[in-house]
Amino acid sequence: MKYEEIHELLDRYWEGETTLEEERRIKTYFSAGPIDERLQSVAPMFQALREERAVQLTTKAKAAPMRPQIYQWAVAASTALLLAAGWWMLREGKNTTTPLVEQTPVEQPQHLNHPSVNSPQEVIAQAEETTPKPAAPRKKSQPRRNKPTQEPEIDAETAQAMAEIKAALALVSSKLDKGRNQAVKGATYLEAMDKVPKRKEG
Amino acid sequence: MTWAIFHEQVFPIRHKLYRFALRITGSVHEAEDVVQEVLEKVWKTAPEQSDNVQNWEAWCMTLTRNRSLDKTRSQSLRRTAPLEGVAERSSNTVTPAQATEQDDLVARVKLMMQQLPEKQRLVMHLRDIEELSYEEIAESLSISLDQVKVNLHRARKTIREKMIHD
Repeated sequence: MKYEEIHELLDRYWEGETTLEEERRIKTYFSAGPIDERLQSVAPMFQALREERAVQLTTKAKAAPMRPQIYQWAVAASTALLLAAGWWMLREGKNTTTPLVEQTPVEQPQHLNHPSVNSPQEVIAQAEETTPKPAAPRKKSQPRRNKPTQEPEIDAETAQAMAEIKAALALVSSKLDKGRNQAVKGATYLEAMDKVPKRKEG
Repeated sequence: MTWAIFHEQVFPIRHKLYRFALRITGSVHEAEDVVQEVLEKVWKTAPEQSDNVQNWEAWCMTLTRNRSLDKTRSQSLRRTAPLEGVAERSSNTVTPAQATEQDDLVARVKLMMQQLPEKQRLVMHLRDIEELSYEEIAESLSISLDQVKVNLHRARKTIREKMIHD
Protein backbone atom coordinates (compact mmCIF):
# COMPACT_ATOMS: atom_id res chain seq x y z
CA MET A 1 0.00 0.00 0.00
CA LYS A 2 1.30 3.45 -0.92
CA TYR A 3 2.13 6.01 1.72
CA GLU A 4 -0.46 8.47 0.46
CA GLU A 5 -3.16 5.87 0.61
CA ILE A 6 -2.41 4.72 4.13
CA HIS A 7 -1.92 8.32 5.25
CA GLU A 8 -5.36 9.24 3.97
CA LEU A 9 -6.88 6.19 5.70
CA LEU A 10 -5.14 7.12 8.95
CA ASP A 11 -6.47 10.67 8.84
CA ARG A 12 -9.96 9.28 8.57
CA TYR A 13 -9.24 6.67 11.24
CA TRP A 14 -8.33 9.32 13.83
CA GLU A 15 -11.53 11.15 13.01
CA GLY A 16 -13.55 7.98 13.51
CA GLU A 17 -14.71 7.91 9.90
CA THR A 18 -13.26 4.64 8.67
CA THR A 19 -15.19 1.45 8.04
CA LEU A 20 -14.25 -1.85 9.67
CA GLU A 21 -12.76 -2.99 6.37
CA GLU A 22 -10.61 0.11 6.08
CA GLU A 23 -9.47 -0.30 9.67
CA ARG A 24 -8.46 -3.90 8.90
CA ARG A 25 -6.40 -2.65 5.96
CA ILE A 26 -4.58 -0.22 8.23
CA LYS A 27 -3.88 -2.99 10.75
CA THR A 28 -2.68 -5.30 8.02
CA TYR A 29 -0.31 -2.61 6.75
CA PHE A 30 1.28 -2.17 10.18
CA SER A 31 1.51 -5.89 10.92
CA ALA A 32 2.84 -7.02 7.54
CA GLY A 33 5.47 -4.32 7.00
CA PRO A 34 7.63 -2.77 5.78
CA ILE A 35 6.35 0.42 7.41
CA ASP A 36 7.10 3.77 5.81
CA GLU A 37 9.54 5.83 7.87
CA ARG A 38 7.01 8.68 8.16
CA LEU A 39 4.46 6.35 9.78
CA GLN A 40 6.76 4.72 12.35
CA SER A 41 5.46 7.01 15.10
CA VAL A 42 1.97 5.51 15.00
CA ALA A 43 3.12 1.90 14.59
CA PRO A 44 3.07 1.24 18.38
CA MET A 45 -0.63 2.07 18.41
CA PHE A 46 -1.50 -0.77 16.04
CA GLN A 47 0.97 -3.13 17.60
CA ALA A 48 -0.73 -2.50 20.95
CA LEU A 49 -4.12 -3.29 19.42
CA ARG A 50 -2.73 -6.48 17.88
CA GLU A 51 -1.22 -7.62 21.16
CA GLU A 52 -4.37 -6.88 23.11
CA ARG A 53 -6.37 -8.93 20.65
CA ALA A 54 -4.04 -11.88 21.20
CA VAL A 55 -4.85 -12.04 24.92
CA GLN A 56 -6.74 -15.24 25.68
CA LEU A 57 -8.51 -16.86 28.55
CA THR A 58 -6.16 -19.61 29.64
CA THR A 59 -7.87 -21.17 32.64
CA LYS A 60 -9.06 -24.56 31.49
CA ALA A 61 -11.64 -24.74 34.27
CA LYS A 62 -13.62 -22.13 32.37
CA ALA A 63 -14.23 -24.69 29.68
CA ALA A 64 -16.87 -26.64 31.55
CA PRO A 65 -18.95 -24.43 33.80
CA MET A 66 -22.11 -26.44 33.31
CA ARG A 67 -20.80 -29.95 33.79
CA PRO A 68 -22.25 -30.33 37.30
CA GLN A 69 -25.64 -29.41 35.95
CA ILE A 70 -25.47 -32.24 33.41
CA TYR A 71 -24.86 -34.64 36.27
CA GLN A 72 -27.73 -33.13 38.21
CA TRP A 73 -29.96 -33.93 35.27
CA ALA A 74 -28.58 -37.44 35.11
CA VAL A 75 -29.38 -37.96 38.79
CA ALA A 76 -32.86 -36.53 38.33
CA ALA A 77 -33.47 -38.76 35.31
CA SER A 78 -32.28 -41.85 37.18
CA THR A 79 -34.55 -41.05 40.11
CA ALA A 80 -37.49 -40.55 37.80
CA LEU A 81 -36.76 -43.90 36.14
CA LEU A 82 -36.63 -45.63 39.52
CA LEU A 83 -39.92 -44.08 40.59
CA ALA A 84 -41.55 -44.99 37.29
CA ALA A 85 -40.28 -48.54 37.56
CA GLY A 86 -41.56 -48.82 41.13
CA TRP A 87 -44.97 -47.50 40.16
CA TRP A 88 -45.11 -49.92 37.23
CA MET A 89 -44.18 -52.80 39.50
CA LEU A 90 -46.98 -52.01 41.95
CA ARG A 91 -49.49 -51.49 39.16
CA GLU A 92 -48.58 -54.71 37.41
CA GLY A 93 -48.71 -56.56 40.69
CA LYS A 94 -52.28 -55.45 41.31
CA ASN A 95 -53.46 -56.08 37.79
CA THR A 96 -52.17 -59.61 37.44
CA THR A 97 -52.28 -61.23 40.84
CA THR A 98 -55.73 -60.14 41.94
CA PRO A 99 -57.66 -61.65 39.03
CA LEU A 100 -55.48 -64.71 39.30
CA VAL A 101 -56.70 -65.33 42.81
CA GLU A 102 -60.30 -64.79 41.83
CA GLN A 103 -60.02 -67.23 38.96
CA THR A 104 -58.32 -69.92 40.94
CA PRO A 105 -60.70 -72.79 41.56
CA VAL A 106 -61.09 -73.60 45.23
CA GLU A 107 -59.64 -77.06 45.32
CA GLN A 108 -58.80 -77.04 48.98
CA PRO A 109 -61.43 -74.97 50.74
CA GLN A 110 -60.07 -75.81 54.19
CA HIS A 111 -57.09 -73.59 53.44
CA LEU A 112 -58.91 -70.68 51.84
CA ASN A 113 -60.57 -68.98 54.76
CA HIS A 114 -60.45 -65.53 53.19
CA PRO A 115 -63.05 -65.04 50.48
CA SER A 116 -61.32 -62.08 48.86
CA VAL A 117 -57.77 -60.92 48.53
CA ASN A 118 -56.79 -57.33 47.90
CA SER A 119 -53.09 -57.11 47.44
CA PRO A 120 -50.13 -59.18 46.23
CA GLN A 121 -48.73 -59.20 49.73
CA GLU A 122 -51.92 -60.85 51.01
CA VAL A 123 -51.77 -63.35 48.21
CA ILE A 124 -48.28 -64.35 49.23
CA ALA A 125 -49.17 -64.39 52.93
CA GLN A 126 -52.21 -66.51 52.24
CA ALA A 127 -50.33 -68.81 49.93
CA GLU A 128 -47.76 -69.42 52.62
CA GLU A 129 -50.47 -70.65 54.96
CA THR A 130 -51.85 -73.15 52.49
CA THR A 131 -50.50 -76.55 51.83
CA PRO A 132 -48.71 -75.91 48.62
CA LYS A 133 -48.82 -78.01 45.54
CA PRO A 134 -45.56 -79.00 43.92
CA ALA A 135 -45.28 -76.38 41.23
CA ALA A 136 -42.42 -73.98 41.85
CA PRO A 137 -38.94 -74.83 40.63
CA ARG A 138 -37.25 -72.71 43.34
CA LYS A 139 -38.88 -74.44 46.27
CA LYS A 140 -35.85 -76.43 47.36
CA SER A 141 -33.54 -73.46 47.42
CA GLN A 142 -35.73 -71.53 49.85
CA PRO A 143 -36.41 -73.50 52.99
CA ARG A 144 -38.92 -72.03 55.43
CA ARG A 145 -37.29 -71.02 58.67
CA ASN A 146 -40.50 -70.33 60.55
CA LYS A 147 -42.11 -73.63 59.55
CA PRO A 148 -39.33 -76.16 59.66
CA THR A 149 -41.65 -79.10 60.06
CA GLN A 150 -43.65 -78.37 56.91
CA GLU A 151 -42.66 -79.33 53.44
CA PRO A 152 -40.94 -76.23 51.95
CA GLU A 153 -43.10 -75.99 48.89
CA ILE A 154 -44.80 -73.11 47.08
CA ASP A 155 -48.07 -73.34 45.26
CA ALA A 156 -48.77 -72.06 41.75
CA GLU A 157 -50.12 -68.71 42.90
CA THR A 158 -47.07 -67.91 44.95
CA ALA A 159 -44.79 -69.03 42.16
CA GLN A 160 -46.64 -66.81 39.76
CA ALA A 161 -46.47 -63.87 42.15
CA MET A 162 -42.77 -64.39 42.57
CA ALA A 163 -42.33 -64.61 38.84
CA GLU A 164 -44.16 -61.31 38.49
CA ILE A 165 -41.92 -59.67 41.07
CA LYS A 166 -38.86 -61.08 39.37
CA ALA A 167 -40.03 -59.69 36.05
CA ALA A 168 -40.63 -56.29 37.64
CA LEU A 169 -37.18 -56.28 39.24
CA ALA A 170 -35.68 -57.29 35.92
CA LEU A 171 -37.37 -54.30 34.33
CA VAL A 172 -35.99 -51.98 37.03
CA SER A 173 -32.58 -53.49 36.44
CA SER A 174 -32.81 -52.97 32.71
CA LYS A 175 -33.91 -49.36 33.21
CA LEU A 176 -30.97 -48.75 35.51
CA ASP A 177 -28.63 -50.28 32.95
CA LYS A 178 -30.10 -48.04 30.29
CA GLY A 179 -29.70 -44.97 32.50
CA ARG A 180 -26.14 -45.93 33.30
CA ASN A 181 -25.32 -46.39 29.64
CA GLN A 182 -26.74 -42.95 28.86
CA ALA A 183 -24.69 -41.43 31.67
CA VAL A 184 -21.54 -43.11 30.32
CA LYS A 185 -22.30 -41.75 26.86
CA GLY A 186 -22.81 -38.27 28.31
CA ALA A 187 -19.57 -38.45 30.26
CA THR A 188 -17.68 -39.57 27.15
CA TYR A 189 -19.15 -36.66 25.20
CA LEU A 190 -18.18 -34.21 27.93
CA GLU A 191 -14.62 -35.51 27.92
CA ALA A 192 -14.47 -35.15 24.15
CA MET A 193 -15.83 -31.60 24.29
CA ASP A 194 -13.22 -30.78 26.93
CA LYS A 195 -10.46 -31.78 24.56
CA VAL A 196 -11.65 -29.71 21.60
CA PRO A 197 -11.07 -26.21 23.05
CA LYS A 198 -7.78 -27.37 24.59
CA ARG A 199 -6.47 -28.34 21.18
CA LYS A 200 -7.53 -25.00 19.75
CA GLU A 201 -5.79 -23.10 22.52
CA GLY A 202 -2.65 -25.16 22.24
CA MET B 1 -30.45 -23.53 23.58
CA THR B 2 -28.84 -26.91 23.48
CA TRP B 3 -25.39 -27.91 24.59
CA ALA B 4 -24.24 -28.01 20.96
CA ILE B 5 -25.56 -24.53 20.14
CA PHE B 6 -23.97 -23.15 23.29
CA HIS B 7 -20.65 -24.54 22.18
CA GLU B 8 -21.04 -23.15 18.68
CA GLN B 9 -22.25 -19.64 19.46
CA VAL B 10 -21.33 -18.69 23.00
CA PHE B 11 -18.36 -20.75 24.09
CA PRO B 12 -16.12 -19.67 21.15
CA ILE B 13 -16.37 -15.99 22.16
CA ARG B 14 -15.11 -16.65 25.68
CA HIS B 15 -11.74 -15.05 24.86
CA LYS B 16 -13.51 -11.95 23.60
CA LEU B 17 -15.62 -11.81 26.77
CA TYR B 18 -12.48 -12.29 28.83
CA ARG B 19 -10.63 -9.43 27.11
CA PHE B 20 -13.66 -7.19 27.59
CA ALA B 21 -13.92 -8.11 31.27
CA LEU B 22 -10.18 -7.56 31.63
CA ARG B 23 -10.54 -4.13 30.02
CA ILE B 24 -13.14 -3.15 32.61
CA THR B 25 -11.82 -4.79 35.76
CA GLY B 26 -8.10 -4.60 34.99
CA SER B 27 -7.71 -7.84 36.95
CA VAL B 28 -6.99 -11.23 35.43
CA HIS B 29 -8.70 -13.07 38.27
CA GLU B 30 -11.73 -10.84 38.27
CA ALA B 31 -12.04 -11.18 34.49
CA GLU B 32 -11.83 -14.97 34.72
CA ASP B 33 -14.56 -14.96 37.36
CA VAL B 34 -16.73 -12.71 35.23
CA VAL B 35 -16.45 -15.00 32.20
CA GLN B 36 -17.24 -18.02 34.33
CA GLU B 37 -20.32 -16.34 35.78
CA VAL B 38 -21.51 -15.03 32.43
CA LEU B 39 -21.21 -18.43 30.75
CA GLU B 40 -23.13 -20.02 33.60
CA LYS B 41 -25.81 -17.37 33.46
CA VAL B 42 -26.19 -17.70 29.70
CA TRP B 43 -26.46 -21.47 30.03
CA LYS B 44 -29.11 -21.24 32.73
CA THR B 45 -31.25 -18.44 31.31
CA ALA B 46 -30.80 -19.10 27.59
CA PRO B 47 -33.96 -21.23 27.19
CA GLU B 48 -36.20 -18.43 28.41
CA GLN B 49 -34.18 -15.73 26.60
CA SER B 50 -33.89 -17.50 23.27
CA ASP B 51 -36.91 -15.70 21.80
CA ASN B 52 -35.75 -12.25 22.89
CA VAL B 53 -32.07 -12.43 22.09
CA GLN B 54 -31.23 -11.64 18.46
CA ASN B 55 -27.49 -11.36 18.84
CA TRP B 56 -25.97 -13.76 21.38
CA GLU B 57 -22.58 -12.09 21.19
CA ALA B 58 -23.95 -8.64 21.97
CA TRP B 59 -26.06 -10.10 24.76
CA CYS B 60 -23.03 -11.86 26.25
CA MET B 61 -21.03 -8.64 25.96
CA THR B 62 -23.75 -6.76 27.82
CA LEU B 63 -23.79 -9.39 30.57
CA THR B 64 -20.00 -9.23 30.75
CA ARG B 65 -19.99 -5.46 30.99
CA ASN B 66 -22.64 -5.39 33.72
CA ARG B 67 -20.99 -8.12 35.74
CA SER B 68 -17.55 -6.53 35.36
CA LEU B 69 -18.81 -3.10 36.40
CA ASP B 70 -20.55 -4.66 39.41
CA LYS B 71 -17.33 -6.27 40.50
CA THR B 72 -15.24 -3.18 39.85
CA ARG B 73 -17.56 -0.86 41.70
CA SER B 74 -18.26 -3.13 44.62
CA GLN B 75 -14.63 -3.90 45.28
CA SER B 76 -13.20 -0.53 44.19
CA LEU B 77 -10.40 -2.26 42.39
CA ARG B 78 -7.53 -0.15 41.27
CA ARG B 79 -7.21 -0.46 37.54
CA THR B 80 -3.97 -1.61 36.06
CA ALA B 81 -3.00 -1.95 32.45
CA PRO B 82 -3.10 -5.57 31.30
CA LEU B 83 0.42 -6.15 30.07
CA GLU B 84 0.42 -9.94 30.00
CA GLY B 85 0.16 -11.99 26.86
CA VAL B 86 2.64 -9.96 24.85
CA ALA B 87 2.58 -11.43 21.37
CA GLU B 88 5.59 -11.71 19.17
CA ARG B 89 6.10 -8.81 16.85
CA SER B 90 6.40 -9.13 13.15
CA SER B 91 8.61 -6.11 12.54
CA ASN B 92 11.75 -7.70 11.24
CA THR B 93 13.76 -4.64 10.33
CA VAL B 94 14.30 -3.09 13.75
CA THR B 95 17.45 -3.39 15.87
CA PRO B 96 17.26 -4.75 19.45
CA ALA B 97 17.58 -1.21 20.83
CA GLN B 98 14.77 -0.02 18.62
CA ALA B 99 12.75 -3.06 19.61
CA THR B 100 13.06 -2.24 23.29
CA GLU B 101 12.06 1.33 22.60
CA GLN B 102 9.18 0.06 20.49
CA ASP B 103 8.04 -2.23 23.34
CA ASP B 104 8.06 0.74 25.69
CA LEU B 105 5.94 2.72 23.28
CA VAL B 106 3.51 -0.18 22.87
CA ALA B 107 3.20 -0.52 26.63
CA ARG B 108 2.55 3.20 26.90
CA VAL B 109 -0.19 3.05 24.28
CA LYS B 110 -1.84 0.23 26.24
CA LEU B 111 -1.64 2.33 29.39
CA MET B 112 -3.13 5.31 27.58
CA MET B 113 -6.04 3.19 26.43
CA GLN B 114 -6.59 1.88 29.93
CA GLN B 115 -6.61 5.41 31.34
CA LEU B 116 -9.35 6.65 29.02
CA PRO B 117 -12.75 7.47 30.55
CA GLU B 118 -14.88 4.34 30.90
CA LYS B 119 -17.19 4.81 27.96
CA GLN B 120 -14.41 5.83 25.57
CA ARG B 121 -12.27 2.94 26.77
CA LEU B 122 -15.01 0.37 26.19
CA VAL B 123 -16.09 1.74 22.81
CA MET B 124 -12.50 1.81 21.58
CA HIS B 125 -11.90 -1.70 22.88
CA LEU B 126 -14.95 -3.14 21.13
CA ARG B 127 -14.14 -1.36 17.87
CA ASP B 128 -10.36 -1.45 17.58
CA ILE B 129 -9.63 -4.75 19.33
CA GLU B 130 -12.79 -6.82 18.86
CA GLU B 131 -13.79 -5.21 15.55
CA LEU B 132 -17.48 -4.87 16.31
CA SER B 133 -19.78 -2.74 14.15
CA TYR B 134 -21.16 0.49 15.55
CA GLU B 135 -24.55 -1.19 15.91
CA GLU B 136 -23.11 -4.10 17.88
CA ILE B 137 -21.20 -1.73 20.15
CA ALA B 138 -24.34 0.32 20.76
CA GLU B 139 -26.26 -2.84 21.65
CA SER B 140 -23.50 -4.23 23.86
CA LEU B 141 -23.10 -1.01 25.83
CA SER B 142 -26.76 0.02 25.71
CA ILE B 143 -25.94 3.43 24.23
CA SER B 144 -26.94 5.24 21.04
CA LEU B 145 -25.07 5.07 17.73
CA ASP B 146 -24.15 8.74 18.07
CA GLN B 147 -22.64 8.10 21.47
CA VAL B 148 -20.60 5.25 20.02
CA LYS B 149 -19.18 7.50 17.28
CA VAL B 150 -18.51 10.44 19.59
CA ASN B 151 -16.77 8.31 22.18
CA LEU B 152 -14.70 6.49 19.59
CA HIS B 153 -13.59 9.77 18.05
CA ARG B 154 -12.65 11.22 21.42
CA ALA B 155 -10.78 8.10 22.45
CA ARG B 156 -8.68 7.94 19.29
CA LYS B 157 -8.04 11.66 19.38
CA THR B 158 -6.80 11.45 22.97
CA ILE B 159 -4.44 8.58 22.17
CA ARG B 160 -3.08 10.36 19.11
CA GLU B 161 -2.43 13.61 20.97
CA LYS B 162 -0.70 11.80 23.79
CA MET B 163 1.45 9.90 21.32
CA ILE B 164 2.47 13.14 19.64
CA HIS B 165 3.24 14.98 22.86
CA ASP B 166 5.05 12.15 24.65
